[in-house]
Amino acid sequence: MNKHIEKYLDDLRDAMRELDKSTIQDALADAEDHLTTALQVETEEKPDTDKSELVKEIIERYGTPEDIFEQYSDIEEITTPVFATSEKAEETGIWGFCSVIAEPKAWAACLYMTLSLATGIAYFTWTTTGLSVSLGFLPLIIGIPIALLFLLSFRGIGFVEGRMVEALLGVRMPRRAITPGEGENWWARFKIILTTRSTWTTIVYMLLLMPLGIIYFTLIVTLFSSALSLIGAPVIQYIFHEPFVDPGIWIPFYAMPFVVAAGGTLIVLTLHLAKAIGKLHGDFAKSMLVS
Amino acid sequence: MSVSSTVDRKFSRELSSGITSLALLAILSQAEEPMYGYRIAKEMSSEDMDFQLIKQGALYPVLKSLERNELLSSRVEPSVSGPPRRYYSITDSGREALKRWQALWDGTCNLMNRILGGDTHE
Repeated sequence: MNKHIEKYLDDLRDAMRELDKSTIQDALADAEDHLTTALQVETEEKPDTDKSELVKEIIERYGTPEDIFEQYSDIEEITTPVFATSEKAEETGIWGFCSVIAEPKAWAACLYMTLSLATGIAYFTWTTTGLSVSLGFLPLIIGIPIALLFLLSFRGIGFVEGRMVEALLGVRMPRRAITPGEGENWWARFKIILTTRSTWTTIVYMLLLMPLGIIYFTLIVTLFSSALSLIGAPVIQYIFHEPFVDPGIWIPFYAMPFVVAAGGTLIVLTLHLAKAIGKLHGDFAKSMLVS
Repeated sequence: MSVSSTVDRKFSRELSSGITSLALLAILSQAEEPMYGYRIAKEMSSEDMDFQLIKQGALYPVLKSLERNELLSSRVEPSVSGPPRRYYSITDSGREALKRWQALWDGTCNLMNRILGGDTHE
């Protein structure tokens, strides 16, 4: 990459450091795309002009890092992630506690936790396959292109996981996929990707999502099925004439309302738990998937 | 930085924030084929390059937000040399929005010209 552009991108990263990490990554991706394309087009149109003059002019027209910082921080203020908007006026007391049942964010977190079993297993399988195949082939000449392809696929999957985290957990994640070292030859690219921190944290994240996914899935399924069986206890006992727990525990009639209420409470508690785990997991995903 | 240049910058940023969306829709509605960021940016500069309504870097967040509101659509295509480019085109709801915004713009212009004492339409 041109050294003026590289310097500009460094300055831009510096100027934007107080903004959200994902916003910075998007802004850098936009700037890099624009500046390299502009340089390439201008060089073709004016082959006689000095290249470093052209770059300076292009950067001047793109705007100073401070301009770009202001522009992106304005836009960030008005665009919020999909479910992050459910921050309405805080209600207090018991009603406020129960209103979680109407919160899209809590249900979306449940959905994420359920899906994470499948995605966790898929990521784990793909990552371990990729790493072992790459390591196995590394002594051979075809080893490095294979390793490069796997590393690129990890970054791609990391981006998709990030979009899912933003949509379901409401944590702002990058909206543009960036592939480091684009336009370089494959050897230089391999080295750049290998030395990028987020490549490795993405791999660790993908491996960790399997145990996490199993825990999340088990929690959601156990808690919801327990809650539903408590709520459904009268139906089981008085309509199907089956005992509440198999061998033979019958709930006395006067206790029934309490059992049903306990089921409802368990659903509310589960939703609160899902929301809290969703928040924690979103922050964890951000620290691992965003460079 | 002097006080006047700070307020000037703030004013020109606030002034351009809405106009940029209108200009982008207008440019893309006249374009015969989808355009990528740098070409749109060139269309938005005046011939002599002296007057710049907005910095080119400010276009991208606006393009993204128009796309999120489904007024624009985009697709990525590889380029012969250099990085792949994202090509933008206007959607049907983008064209409708352009019509409404154009009317709003005309009204604003008439009103502002009268207030600033430029010319009188009535």
